Amino acid sequence: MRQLAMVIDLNKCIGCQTCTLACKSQWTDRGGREFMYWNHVETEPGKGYPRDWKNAGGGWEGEQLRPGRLPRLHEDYGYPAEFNYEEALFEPTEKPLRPIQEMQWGPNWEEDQGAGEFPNSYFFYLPRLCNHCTKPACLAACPRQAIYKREEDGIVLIDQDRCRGYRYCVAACPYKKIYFNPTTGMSEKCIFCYPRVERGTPPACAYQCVGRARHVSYLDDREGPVHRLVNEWKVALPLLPQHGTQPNVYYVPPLSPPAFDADGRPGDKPRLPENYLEELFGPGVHDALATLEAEIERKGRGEASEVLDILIAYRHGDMFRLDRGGQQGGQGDA
Amino acid sequence: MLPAAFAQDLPPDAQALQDAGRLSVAGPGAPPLAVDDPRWDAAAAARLSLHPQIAITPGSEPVPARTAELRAISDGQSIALRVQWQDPSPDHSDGGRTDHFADAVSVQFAHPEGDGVLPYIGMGEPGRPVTVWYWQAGRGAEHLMAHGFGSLEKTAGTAPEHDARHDGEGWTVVLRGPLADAPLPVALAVWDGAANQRNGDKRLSAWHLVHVPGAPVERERYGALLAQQKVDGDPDQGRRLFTAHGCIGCHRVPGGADVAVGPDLRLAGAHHWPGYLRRMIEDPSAFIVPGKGYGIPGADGTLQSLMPRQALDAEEIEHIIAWLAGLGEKGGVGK
Ligand code: SF4
Ligand code: SF4
Repeated sequence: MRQLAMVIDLNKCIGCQTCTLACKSQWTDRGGREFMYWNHVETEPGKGYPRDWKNAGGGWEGEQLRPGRLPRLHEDYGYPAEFNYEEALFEPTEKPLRPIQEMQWGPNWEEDQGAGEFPNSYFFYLPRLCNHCTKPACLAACPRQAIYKREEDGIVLIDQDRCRGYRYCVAACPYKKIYFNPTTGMSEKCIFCYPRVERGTPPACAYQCVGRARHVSYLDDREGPVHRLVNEWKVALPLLPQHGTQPNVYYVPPLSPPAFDADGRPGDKPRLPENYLEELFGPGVHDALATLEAEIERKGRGEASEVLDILIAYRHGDMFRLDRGGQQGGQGDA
Repeated sequence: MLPAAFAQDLPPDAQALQDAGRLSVAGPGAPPLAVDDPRWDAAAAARLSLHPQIAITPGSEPVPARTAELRAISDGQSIALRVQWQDPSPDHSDGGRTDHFADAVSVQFAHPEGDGVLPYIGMGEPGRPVTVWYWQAGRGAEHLMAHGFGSLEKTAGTAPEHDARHDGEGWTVVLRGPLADAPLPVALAVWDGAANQRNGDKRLSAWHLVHVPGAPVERERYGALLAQQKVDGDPDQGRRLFTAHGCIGCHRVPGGADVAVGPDLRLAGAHHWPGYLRRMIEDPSAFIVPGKGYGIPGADGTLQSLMPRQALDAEEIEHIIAWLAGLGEKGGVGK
């Protein structure tokens, strides 16, 4: 099986949510999907979306699926509120434009909050989508074999003709990236824009990314950016690998400015606690960060750095290699 | 005692069913759709025990059985089935929640063609498909087909018409559609949304026959049903043989260890007719519940059951069946 995979450079993500909207306007803007964000960007540290997903269970414990819970529509996902347009815009009133129902949560609820005390407060943006895992817990949990992983690109899809809305998959996904559509009564998830991918066009979230933070290529394509960043340079790591699903979205971990010491001077400790990053990205995070720092220094000295050149992405087209043979160069505009 | 309306449609010399509790007679006439149509009062009610599905995972907790009342009215062309069961909290799929499951009921029909063998109660088996009328609160009714666990599919068949009411204590649901066979083998299942029930996590009955008066009962088919209902053994000896032959090492039974190599049999008698148990013991590989790891590919590539054919003679098999058939209490017919 071939695996199409993505690398997201967290040092380049500016939290603009262009990816989120590219996805939403393409796939989830109606029909019971209003609350769903197949791609969203959350602020770390935080409870995220759906709220507290990291503590909602799922994933593997050895060869056994770990139990998980189902997020609630209003409390955990957050339901898009209606606004009082009529009243605020067309009636003689001073009432400002406001949501009619009070929202309880949302996909971007804690934007920029982060953690830590000033001046050592910290946060970073974490874009999330289905990881099209190599050992998908969602697929294993479905008693109807309604979820399948495509031989040609490893994309994980739900057969809408077979799904009966049981939601074992939702409970099983440790990333809570599979959603129950209460209108259709079936589960849905990120499709890695397979109709685009089949025509050689990258997924919308990656292609639209203004930060040039997202690379897409086959894991076994040795010329592709993903293979080079993940396997050769080992600067891109899966999120929460301890869940055992073997995700195929990889993250270049965030570099950290130094923490200020008691005198208000930059000290020698990073502001992002390293054990916290290790929890998120596994033990490889230390080497990955060290490689990045060394390569940044090298580049700063005016020397060549292959890995930084890939991450900088001088040519937009170089970030994507979707040709199924793995021969031809990148598509898209320069 | 066989209901008179059934006995008169039987071939003259036919033997009575051993367990007449598994047959009831439909009321005659145009089948009504409304749950409160007065004609329902005149139709006989079969009280079916719905035991939790604990044999196969994902299944149910071993919760207490519930009773459902099944009434049928048929004019020979179409049939209306009214199911009533207790469930104090009405749970609808209302589009407003992602963590919530809806109450549901299904009527499963068998089509015992040819050899007249009733399929496995859990969604049929390959070559012995079942038709399912499925109703879910808030979503209405569907017409489905299955030939084994996990194979349930929507079909071209038209969905049954439906009417439903919740009266604070439970549901009354009427499903109406074309009549296929007589006597009609049906099995009921209900799901309680409040307990997050879905899929195999449900309560279900054993096969029950609904006879439509005036419909000729084919001698062969009736004979086959009789044979499947018959059991002629000594339960005490059966229990001993079950242990002596090691069956107890793989199947969970009352008083046995918590093993799950094969299906849990604590409610075997509540869900299966003796004929099914006989089939499984005589030839374990003839049907293997799919997708549960009960089959291993044999030398010729076909799936073989993990369960070996036991060195048991016909008499010993009957003893074991007699014992298993007594596990879990059955529903009777009453009014
Ligand atoms: S991220 Fe979740 S939904 Fe996506 S493949 Fe992995 S387990 Fe399945
Ligand atoms: S579009 Fe790119 S930069 Fe913007 S939030 Fe998404 S991943 Fe980050």
